[in-house]
Amino acid sequence: MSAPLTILGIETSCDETAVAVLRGTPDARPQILSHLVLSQIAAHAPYGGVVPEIAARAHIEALDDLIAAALKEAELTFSDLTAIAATAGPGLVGGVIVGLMTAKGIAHAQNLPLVGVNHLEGHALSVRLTEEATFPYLLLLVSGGHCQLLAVEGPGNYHLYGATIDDAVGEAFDKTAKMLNLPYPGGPSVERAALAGDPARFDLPRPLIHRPGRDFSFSGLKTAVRHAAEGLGKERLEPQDVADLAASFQAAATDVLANRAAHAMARFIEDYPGATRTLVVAGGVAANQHLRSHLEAAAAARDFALIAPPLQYCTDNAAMIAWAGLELFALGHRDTLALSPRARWPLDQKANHPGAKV
Amino acid sequence: MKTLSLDTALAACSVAIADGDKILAREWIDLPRGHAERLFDLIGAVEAAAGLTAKQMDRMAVTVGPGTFTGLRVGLAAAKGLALAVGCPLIGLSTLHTVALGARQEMAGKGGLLTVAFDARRDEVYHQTFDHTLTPLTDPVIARRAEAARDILSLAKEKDAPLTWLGTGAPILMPLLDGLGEISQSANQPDAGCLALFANHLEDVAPYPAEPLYLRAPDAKLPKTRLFKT
Repeated sequence: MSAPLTILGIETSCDETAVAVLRGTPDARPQILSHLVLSQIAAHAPYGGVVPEIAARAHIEALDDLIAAALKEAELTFSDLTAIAATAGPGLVGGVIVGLMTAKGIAHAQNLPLVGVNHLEGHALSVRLTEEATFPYLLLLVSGGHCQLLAVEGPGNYHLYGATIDDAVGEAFDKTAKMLNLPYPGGPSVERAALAGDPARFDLPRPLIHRPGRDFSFSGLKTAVRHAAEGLGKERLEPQDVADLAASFQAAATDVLANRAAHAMARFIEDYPGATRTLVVAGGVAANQHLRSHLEAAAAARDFALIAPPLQYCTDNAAMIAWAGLELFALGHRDTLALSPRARWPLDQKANHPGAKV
Repeated sequence: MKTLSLDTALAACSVAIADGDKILAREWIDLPRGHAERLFDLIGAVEAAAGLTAKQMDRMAVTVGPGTFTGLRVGLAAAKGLALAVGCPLIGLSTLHTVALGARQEMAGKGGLLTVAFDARRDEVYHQTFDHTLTPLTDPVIARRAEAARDILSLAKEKDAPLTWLGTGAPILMPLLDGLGEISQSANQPDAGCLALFANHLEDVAPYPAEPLYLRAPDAKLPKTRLFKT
């Protein structure tokens, strides 16, 4: 076994400013020495979504103190680090710039190697922070900005199975919440409202579900929610209407995700006949308990084990960036300080799919 | 006292190292885009030329705006990372003040007021006015062109002093005042060399925090009325 690596991770690609310090090797679960996340939810809430310039301003205000705090909590100094890992994209480029340039400054002053991490790769490998998940595995990546199915062969090695052709599923949750006057962020508030709702009251479409393939579509579903709400002919929605609409939407979205995941499982078995059958769900929407239970059933029906990272590593965080950085560093990956921040950066660079560009 | 300084807030990228009164090394390139990629090349170049590394610095200094939001954050984030890793103070200075520093000799010779102004587009300018020792007489502000011209004129009358203009906003404002004053011969972009010298001479760094000076609110609109009431 190789000597343990100590990696500082920085994540600033959306609305969380996050820093973490890990120590470990790629072949075992690491020690998470510190893991801090500053959420900007309150700053964006009045706008009903993330405002890029507000996000970038909040990142630069908070990041250096958060790095100092993460090192202090880990009881380390910069000289104890092996390398620095920072999200270099994809995401809101104003925020990515803040994290990446700060990381470059530290790397330069301390003569530390820099590893620029793809935010999606952070999510893709996040399960290995805390769980035994050997390569290859099937990944369902679901968040506010992304909705993809990928075969994960290892760090830097991904095969796109399917992706959304319009909205990300988390975006559909956010837009539904906005329509129903539920608070931002939409994922948790739709899930909460749905608890008291009847998922069968509104017959919402399940886009693409009767077609082969592994792509997703959610924009029609979002429109159907609006038509169903308008169809009630009320100026004011009753709490029960909101609950039923939320539950009906969540049920439809879940059915789509489970159906597409099932098709991907079939493909995975063809591509990797001898492999352990593992379905990993990651990203912010993986926090949804209704989705998890339905994916669990879909996986069990095909002899797949469903693994999801703990909730705190599903939503955006820096432990997953430090971990992806650790895995890449161990494989010899280094970046120069000329590295560009990227708004778009597909995980599977060979794939030519509109939904995989981000 | 040694300072490493940088500026990426406008249409150039500049880096310098100064020791006391002497600029040891300086790089300045005209660069409207690509600051994030080029900055550390320039830092490496001035360190090599000065024979010093970042860790040997007593201070860091950076321009904090006004400028492009992205550009000023490229330099500020890099400087924050450098200062944090070196464990030294970071001094932030406005781009207007930094440009004014470049006219030190000229203003010492001729006296009067120096107004630095940058084109902020949308019929607006950023501007700030200094005395001949480059002590600020006004705060950096953003204003409509006509309003800026009015304010600068009334300050020049109040001080009863000749006016020198500097910056990309000078040719915009000067015609609005019938050609009042004269355009400076000094550089109209920030120079990290001047900034490093300024930082070396500061006794108290507290009045110069490394905080962004945007002068403009984020472009964000509150959502329209909801579809339904609940």
